[in-house]
Amino acid sequence: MKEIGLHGRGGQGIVLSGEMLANVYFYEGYEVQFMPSYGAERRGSPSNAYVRIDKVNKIYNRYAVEIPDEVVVFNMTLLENIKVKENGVALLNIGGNVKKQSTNAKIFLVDANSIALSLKLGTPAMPIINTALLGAYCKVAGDFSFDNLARVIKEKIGKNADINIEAAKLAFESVREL
Amino acid sequence: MSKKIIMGGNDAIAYAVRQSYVDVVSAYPITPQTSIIEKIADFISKGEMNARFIKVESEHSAMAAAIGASIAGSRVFTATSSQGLLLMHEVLHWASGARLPIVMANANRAVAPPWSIWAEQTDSLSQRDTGWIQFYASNAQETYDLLFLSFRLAERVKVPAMVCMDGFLVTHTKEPVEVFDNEISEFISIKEKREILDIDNPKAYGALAFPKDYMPIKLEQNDAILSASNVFNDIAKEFELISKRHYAATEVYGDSKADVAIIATGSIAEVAHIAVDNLNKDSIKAKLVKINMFRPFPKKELQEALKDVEKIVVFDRNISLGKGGIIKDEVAGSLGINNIIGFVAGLGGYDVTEQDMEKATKDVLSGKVKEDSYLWGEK
Amino acid sequence: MKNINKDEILQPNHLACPGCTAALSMRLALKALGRKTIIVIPACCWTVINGPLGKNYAGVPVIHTAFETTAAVASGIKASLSMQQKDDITVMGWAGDGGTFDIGLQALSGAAERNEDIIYVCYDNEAYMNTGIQRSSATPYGAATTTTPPPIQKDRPKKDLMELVAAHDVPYIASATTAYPQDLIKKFEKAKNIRGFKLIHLFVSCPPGHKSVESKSIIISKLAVETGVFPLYEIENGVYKLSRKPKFTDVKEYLSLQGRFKHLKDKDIEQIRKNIEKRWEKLNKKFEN
Repeated sequence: MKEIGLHGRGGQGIVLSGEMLANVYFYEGYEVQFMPSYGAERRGSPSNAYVRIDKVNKIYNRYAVEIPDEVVVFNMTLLENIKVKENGVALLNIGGNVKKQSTNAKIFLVDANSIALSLKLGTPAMPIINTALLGAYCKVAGDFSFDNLARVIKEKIGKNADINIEAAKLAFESVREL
Repeated sequence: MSKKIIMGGNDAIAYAVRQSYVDVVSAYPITPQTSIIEKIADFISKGEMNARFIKVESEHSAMAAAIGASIAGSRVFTATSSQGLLLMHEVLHWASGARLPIVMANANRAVAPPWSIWAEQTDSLSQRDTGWIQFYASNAQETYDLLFLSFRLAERVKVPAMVCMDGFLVTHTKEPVEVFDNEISEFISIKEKREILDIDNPKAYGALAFPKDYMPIKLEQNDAILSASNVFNDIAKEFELISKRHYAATEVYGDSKADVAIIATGSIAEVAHIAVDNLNKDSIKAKLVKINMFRPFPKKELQEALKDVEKIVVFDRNISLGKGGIIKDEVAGSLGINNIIGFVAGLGGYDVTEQDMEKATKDVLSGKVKEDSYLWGEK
Repeated sequence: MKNINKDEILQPNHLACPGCTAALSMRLALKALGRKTIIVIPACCWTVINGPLGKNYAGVPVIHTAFETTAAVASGIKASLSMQQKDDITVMGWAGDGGTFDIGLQALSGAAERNEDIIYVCYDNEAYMNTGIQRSSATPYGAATTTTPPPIQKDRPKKDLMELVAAHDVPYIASATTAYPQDLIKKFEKAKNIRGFKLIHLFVSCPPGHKSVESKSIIISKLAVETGVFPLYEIENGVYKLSRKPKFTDVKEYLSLQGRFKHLKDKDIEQIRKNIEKRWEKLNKKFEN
């Protein structure tokens, strides 16, 4: 079983991203479970979502993911509080570089904000970055196809699907390891 | 043709309501139930569902309006949670006493104070004496299936039914659910004939009953609820032919020659599957006895499932303050057994993992835990 | 004289106290509404009047329900009937003042705000009579009840139900009493033919509760109107219409017929006169507009 954490702030589309990721893995033939972590409704507060996937077994775990195997960080202000397993994977949304973290997790960087803004997805104050980050994660994770990601974006996003798929593609191509 | 869709328990309930020819919905928002009624409102607004949705000003009125619509002849659905269910308490009795087959979804949520929006079953278990059939679903597929089964069962025995599901852990956790296309239509379109308000036959319902009349009426009601056990099996068989999914009041998983049985409901029962697998790997012969239907109480099924085990360990995500876990107490009392230890666990959404359950079970078997206890601070 | 429907829907031998005008009110209301009517009755005197298990003196279908649920249950029935295209059936809630002014006010407000197509009737005998005369928020200033025994009789005025419901912008609100039966019938007929939420507030005389003589119930009801204590009027789509201009005879006569007021001193009666004046000052402004 692999546990994936998505970490951002309310309004960044964390819940939708988790749901899309669960759908992508479902199309890949995995057993999947998507568990948003909920508090009271409040924009801007930290928002986390977790996806569990398993190639074979039904997923019976019904409690919060404590330390994910892999994390996608939508908002760098949250970095301090995010945990990832030893030898795990962390995908960070960041424009510049980040200094080597005190972890032996593999760190990947993508500038999802710039990609989103270059395609006029959202506003500078609130760029729509979830599809770009999923595109980057597709490359980093390497266990689902971009085609299935594009399929899910089409199903879940509807009329702006093409531009979101473009964002995912750009992120897929530009994500790099630290 | 049926297909699999990723959805949570709440989505699955709304989806099933849409397919159940429901005439009237009467509901009031409360976390973590709200997304059920939002989805239903969405279906109605898009013309995908033909029903009246009464947007009442409280849960008390939600159930009261449901009573009115049901006694006038409609198939009625409502949903609530925690404080809302407690506010309904009086009218829950009214619905069951009037023998109205209302179906309700309850998102199990802890009761304040202090405020909590997370999973706990004390809300619905404290309604166990209201004369409702109670189901506890462990995952989204079960919420979906039990909704159809509830309508058919409630209407057959003329007893209202609630489908309970742990807040967030079942209501919002999304997973693949196999949903029907049209193949459920015939099953769910069956509506039993029952007595309703009729201007050509003007009767009064619920009038004052003197002592000589009251008790026989209550005993008849009790018989009707008890009869739901057998009727459920019949309806579940019918359902299985369509869905290929088997439902029963209780469900056993693990080593059939087990020495120890774990009893659980809802989301904890789901996790218990892993605990049982791990215990069996550790050469401890264990099985899970999952309670799906709590009212009528599945005494016969539990007797059968527990007859050869040495020890029984119950995990209760609920508490009768001043007494302990409600399910443990009911199992012990109903079966008259004392080889049973209960753990109160996971109140207010506190996580219960397989490791917690394995350790607790081992502690019981080793004699380290000799009486009812609780799971806390294990992590 | 207007033709009154000869059909007697309310059956004889019902269980009302002698001189109870809550029973007479039902008889007249059903003459106006006819047999295609369903009644919701919460805990109130009518729970008893309609008879125990097996009886139904109302003569149309009745559902007895919890104290505070009248308007919600009626809303549910209406929704169901409407799904069944049985739109010709009138759904009427029939509640006492406790079930309306107090415990049922929330459900009443909800149904009014949703503009449910029901007639909500409050038959107001101005206290919890069914439980043995305790004060409600409909009990008038100065009245003695078992929970307001003199000298701690009620010192607050009666809640203004009509205004409360008017604040919900509903199509029809009216007050009536059996002392003016044709007026009462006319208002129920009107309510029946208006779609949306209707409130009818009935003053009801209660010999055991008001400590009055059984044969004086109609006179007391008439005096309630003529002294200005109980104004007869309608609010139709927000427009106020006076049904009967009172003679404003001295309230003392009205009070003297009821033992519940017998402890009142002159200064209390003066206060009641002032309350009536104040109420009518407000009302007259509405009638003028």
